[in-house]
Amino acid sequence: MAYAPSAHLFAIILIFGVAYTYHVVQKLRCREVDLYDFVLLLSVAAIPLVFVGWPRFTAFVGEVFGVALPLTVMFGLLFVSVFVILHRSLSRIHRLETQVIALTQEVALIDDRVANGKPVFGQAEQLVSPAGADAAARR
Amino acid sequence: MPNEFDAFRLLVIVPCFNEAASVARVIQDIRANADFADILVVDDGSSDATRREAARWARCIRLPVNLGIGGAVQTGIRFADRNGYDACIQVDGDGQHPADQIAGLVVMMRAQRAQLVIGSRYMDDNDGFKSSFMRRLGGWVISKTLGICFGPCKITDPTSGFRLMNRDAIEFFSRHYPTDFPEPISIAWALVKGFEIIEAPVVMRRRQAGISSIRMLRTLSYMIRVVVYIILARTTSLSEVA
Repeated sequence: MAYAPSAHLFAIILIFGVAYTYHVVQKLRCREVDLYDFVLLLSVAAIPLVFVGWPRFTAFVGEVFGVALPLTVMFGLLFVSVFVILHRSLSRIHRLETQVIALTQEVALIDDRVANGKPVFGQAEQLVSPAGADAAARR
Repeated sequence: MPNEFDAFRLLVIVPCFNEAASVARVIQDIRANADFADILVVDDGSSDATRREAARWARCIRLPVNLGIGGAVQTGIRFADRNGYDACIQVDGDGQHPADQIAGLVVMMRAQRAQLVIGSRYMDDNDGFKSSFMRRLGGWVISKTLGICFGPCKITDPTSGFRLMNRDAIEFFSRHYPTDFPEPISIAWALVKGFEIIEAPVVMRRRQAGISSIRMLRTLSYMIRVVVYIILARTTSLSEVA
């Protein structure tokens, strides 16, 4: 099925793509996102641009998926892209939450040891490797 | 001090969040009824005078930010683990849990070699505080879900925070302790681990001060989420859930 995006649609998506890409690049420059996140976020701009920039490719993908309206495929891919971003973000948040809880507990326990006049690294000392212990003894 | 508790090191963990009005009474109650135990108050980032009140009567660890009941209790469990305690028991800072029944739970744990002993409000018909109908219904549903998922384990009060754990449980829970819905989910994890869990009837009191972390309007939501968590705990390994 022939698919020809209008000049208006092309212009709107192009403006969105450029503005959004600029925004994400700024975030990367400020190190607010890492390179992996940058690529994932960029797909939100890249997918619509590909679909309006290469109508034949869009029609081909629509045919492969058996969808009459190629834009449906585009939104489907965008949804997958956003889902991957969300999944990755949630996993990272959960991992960070677990680490923050453990660190907060450690801070409180160390604070208690200091307040009660006990060495802070009492347990860590037991974890020193034999080589490390020998070096410490020589010092 | 009863002779049977000689050389037995028990830590009473008192998690508190804005319990300045009741924490001193709770500590005095424990001292009067379980003088063989050490007491550790874990102040979960309170904004009132909880720490000052607690520190006057017992050792107090203050968390710099509020972690919730699960994070506070696990801090106490980690303390027990690092200081070689044989057992530890959670007694909430709101005054609901009766300190005069601590010794009974310890005797029961040692006699039956259980890893976890839960003080249950619903085992015997007593005149103690039983909480609202909705919360009892929630407890019943959670209990049934635990039974379906983990076989014949009869837990009548899965949301009870009055629980005693032995050394095995201390070592396990110091590494893995749920931050969401800690009471029922820790039971599920203990069952996954293969721990022996028993219950003992206790008579609880109404909270002396403070606000419950499980509010009335959220009971239904709490129940549904806990049931889902228990099913997930059944179908995943501990390394995945913890």
